[in-house]
Amino acid sequence: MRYIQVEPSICVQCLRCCLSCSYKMEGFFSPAHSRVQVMNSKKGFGIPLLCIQCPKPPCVEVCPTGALELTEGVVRLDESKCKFCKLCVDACPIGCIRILDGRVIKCELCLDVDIPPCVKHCPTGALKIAELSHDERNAMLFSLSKMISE
Amino acid sequence: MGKSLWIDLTRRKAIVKPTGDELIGKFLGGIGFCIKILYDMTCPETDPLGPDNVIIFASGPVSGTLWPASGRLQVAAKSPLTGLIGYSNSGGRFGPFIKYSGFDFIVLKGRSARPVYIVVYDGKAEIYEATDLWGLDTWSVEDEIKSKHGDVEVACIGPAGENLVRYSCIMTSKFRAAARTGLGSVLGSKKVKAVAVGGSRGVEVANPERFFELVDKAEQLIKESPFTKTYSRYGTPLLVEPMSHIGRLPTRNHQTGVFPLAEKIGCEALERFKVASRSCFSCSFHCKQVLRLDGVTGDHPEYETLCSLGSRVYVGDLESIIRWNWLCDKLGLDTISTGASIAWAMECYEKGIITEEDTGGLKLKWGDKNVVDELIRMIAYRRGFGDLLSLGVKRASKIIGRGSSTYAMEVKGLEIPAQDGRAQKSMGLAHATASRGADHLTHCTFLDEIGFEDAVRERFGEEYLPEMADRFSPKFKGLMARENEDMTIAASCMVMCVTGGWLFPPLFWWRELAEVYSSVTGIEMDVKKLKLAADRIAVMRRAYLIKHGVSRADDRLPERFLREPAPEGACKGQVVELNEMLDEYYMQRGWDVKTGLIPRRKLEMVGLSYVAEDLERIGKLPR
Repeated sequence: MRYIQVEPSICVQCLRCCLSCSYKMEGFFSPAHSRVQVMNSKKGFGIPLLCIQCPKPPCVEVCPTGALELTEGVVRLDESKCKFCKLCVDACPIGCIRILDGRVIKCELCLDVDIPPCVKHCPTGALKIAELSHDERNAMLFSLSKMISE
Repeated sequence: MGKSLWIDLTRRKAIVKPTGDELIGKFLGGIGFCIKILYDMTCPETDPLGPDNVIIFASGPVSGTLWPASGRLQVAAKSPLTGLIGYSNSGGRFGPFIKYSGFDFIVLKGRSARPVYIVVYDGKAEIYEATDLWGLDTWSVEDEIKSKHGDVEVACIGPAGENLVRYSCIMTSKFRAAARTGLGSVLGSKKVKAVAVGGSRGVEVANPERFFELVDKAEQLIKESPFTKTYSRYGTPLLVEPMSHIGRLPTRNHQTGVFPLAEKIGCEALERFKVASRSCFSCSFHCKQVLRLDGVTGDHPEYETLCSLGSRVYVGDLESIIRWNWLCDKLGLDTISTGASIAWAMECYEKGIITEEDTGGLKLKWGDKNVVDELIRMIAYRRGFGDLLSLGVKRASKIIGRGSSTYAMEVKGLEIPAQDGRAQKSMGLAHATASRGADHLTHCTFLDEIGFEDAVRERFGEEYLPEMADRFSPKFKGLMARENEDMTIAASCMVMCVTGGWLFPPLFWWRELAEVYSSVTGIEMDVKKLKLAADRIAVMRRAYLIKHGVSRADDRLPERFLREPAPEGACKGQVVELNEMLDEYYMQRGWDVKTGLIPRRKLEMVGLSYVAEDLERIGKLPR
């Protein structure tokens, strides 16, 4: 399964991932509308944050309507079932489910294209595509949560 | 149709206007908008520090998109330092976020009675009291405003701007400065501590397929360029050692261009403090290096600062320069003019013109770190001798007299940046003719710096080689200055970084710019039309200067560059052949060679008949 791997130490915070993501998903450039958000770490590099498709996703566990579902390794949102309770927003340990313009938005990996735009336009390789096992995704979640709390 | 925001601080009122087809069609965006607005709204009688001055924060048509290095902010006002047109351009994120806030540009006029800051978010502007922020340094202001208003980008002034230091700057994203021409003091005079912008208004492109194709090609070119790797790793500090090697690194107030301690303050030396790389908005080059020192994490000093607070004052201690760079950022000082003012005072002290009686007991010895440290603070707070230096070297040398103006390294009142025309002739011409005063970024004459022969061949033609790429030859430098000035204007209209592949490294040129503009705006633009717009903006900028009394006599250089041969290094024995280059430059621009004024037919050719009428009325058309 093809996932997006995050390597914060080489993220230069150019926001090209946010720009290209917002364009693909919304048809215009607006970092606020991006499914990937970039946080500034105290160490000077950026932390690109996007849904890492947790093997045991807490957002799916708390979703009371079944709008969020883990299918074939991807946490997918069915907007028609979403009641905007925002429990998923609070449940995500790295803040990668957000409410914008009255909608819940999250990354679903852009499996319709070979290379997701955020990866394609990243100048340093801080975002790249990779086959990631359960354990590797859990490790990524652990390290990102640690970084953002520092 | 884009919108612009006009805020009258005296009346505390904000008006939203359509940007307008005429402005867009004739002046494109960014610097073009700024110059048109300043020409129409300010005049020779306008006091730069009075309520009648206007200050403009502008984005451009490409701002906020995925085009590489399109994240610049253009700021402009009548300059309190030069009394002429003041413009400065900053990286960071503020420029595109003007767009996301719902506007193309923001104009501030009038003067608030009390300190305020302005927040522009999703199409709305609010003015807030800033009494609590007044006096704070720029980093604290940014933190305070972000903690109250969340996801916004902040442009603000430090104590230097509040104290109306003539070369105080506007800081964005903490480390990026709209540094030159004293625009910080314009905000200070209006009692505006900060402007914050943010929001989620989307930026659309008219022809996405064409646009993304161009972006893909650009990314590929950037990736393949032999300059990208080193530029991304080191940024502008990579210039320090090579420039000293060619005798172009101003040292001891431009007495020489060779700094024996260059290696200690060069890009390799900076590596030991480096913890990360950082990029301005949407930039694939990421030329900013993040350093850690004394528990502080922040951006590196640029080449300009390594010179102004290093070689120019003869300091070879990198840690001190890193600290002073951050200190100037926090106080809101232009590091170039700050270092240049201190260097002027040091040379005057060396020559016995300035004594301890003037300085209040300070011994202004070259390389004395305590003196530099103390003077930076004294300038920002205008204490003691610092008050004199806060005026800039032109004013300060007039007050001191005693021949001190001989050592004032300025043109039109703006301190000369980190080049020396004796080591690179085109830079002599650039310093002499730039509208904002001595400047390297108005003309970006980089092609002879290390001799970009391929770019000269491609952009101008084989017949201009070898001279145009030869830094010692004055030949064809007028042509290069004119062409690169026009490209700089066009890029600064968009608003793109000039070192984002346009002027350096030489990757894209007019055709690409016209294509990007057309794909984003849907307004078909060809190279001819784009060049005409750039020419129009250059003409209007010059007309502004002419209205303020500028003529050929003001396109000058300090005598040092014309009569004191470079004392050492690869350029030993060279002087600047300014007159010869000026003749060619005016001819290239279509301006009057004898006077530097603009003939009526030239004004009409670029569609500025009303400017011709203005100049005729005051007798400033060439006969």
